[in-house]
Amino acid sequence: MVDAVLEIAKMLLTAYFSYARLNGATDEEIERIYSQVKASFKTNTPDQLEDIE
Amino acid sequence: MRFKRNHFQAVLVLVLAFMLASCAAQKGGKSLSEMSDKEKSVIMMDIYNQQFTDYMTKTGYTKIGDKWEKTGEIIDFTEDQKDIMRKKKEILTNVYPLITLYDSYVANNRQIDLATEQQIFALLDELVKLVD
Repeated sequence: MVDAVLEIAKMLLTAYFSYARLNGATDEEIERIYSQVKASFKTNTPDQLEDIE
Repeated sequence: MRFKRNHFQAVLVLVLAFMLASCAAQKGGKSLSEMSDKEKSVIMMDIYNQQFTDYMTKTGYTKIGDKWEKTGEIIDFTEDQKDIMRKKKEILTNVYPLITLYDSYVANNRQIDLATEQQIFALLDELVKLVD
C-alpha cells in the first residue's frame, strides 16, 4: 500500500516537473528540453526491459 | 519502525506533490489541452523515461553514458510486486511505438492524430491506476 502511494506520488511529481519546466519557457528553451528528453527516450527502448520470472 | 518510516515518506511526498500542484494552479499556467503538440510530446516522453528508469533500476541496471548496463541484481519482489512489474513492462512496451509515432508527427509538423494522443494518455493513466 505504501509502495503504491509512493509510486503514484512519484508519477504526479514527474508529470508536474515536466509541466512546470515547460510552463513559461521560451520557444528556444522548449526546443532544448525537447531535444534532451527525446535523446533519452531513444535510448530507452522497451526491448531492454528484463522479464520478471 | 521501518513500516512507520515508509508511511512518513509516503505522506511527505504526497504533501509535496499537493503543494506543487497548488502552486501550479495559482500561477495560472497552461492546461494540458492548451499545450502545443511538442510540449505534450515532452510530457509523454518524460513520464515514459521516468517509468522506464524505475523499472530498469529495480531490475539491476544502471545507465552508463547512453547505454543501460547490468550492474546489480534484480530486487526481491513479492508476487504482487511481480505482477505490477509485468503489467508495467507490458504498458511501456505498448506505449513506446505510439509515442514514437506521435513524435514523428510533431517532428514533421504533421497534423496530430487525436486518437493516438488519447490512446497514449490512457496508457500513461493506466500506469498510475495499476498501482492502486
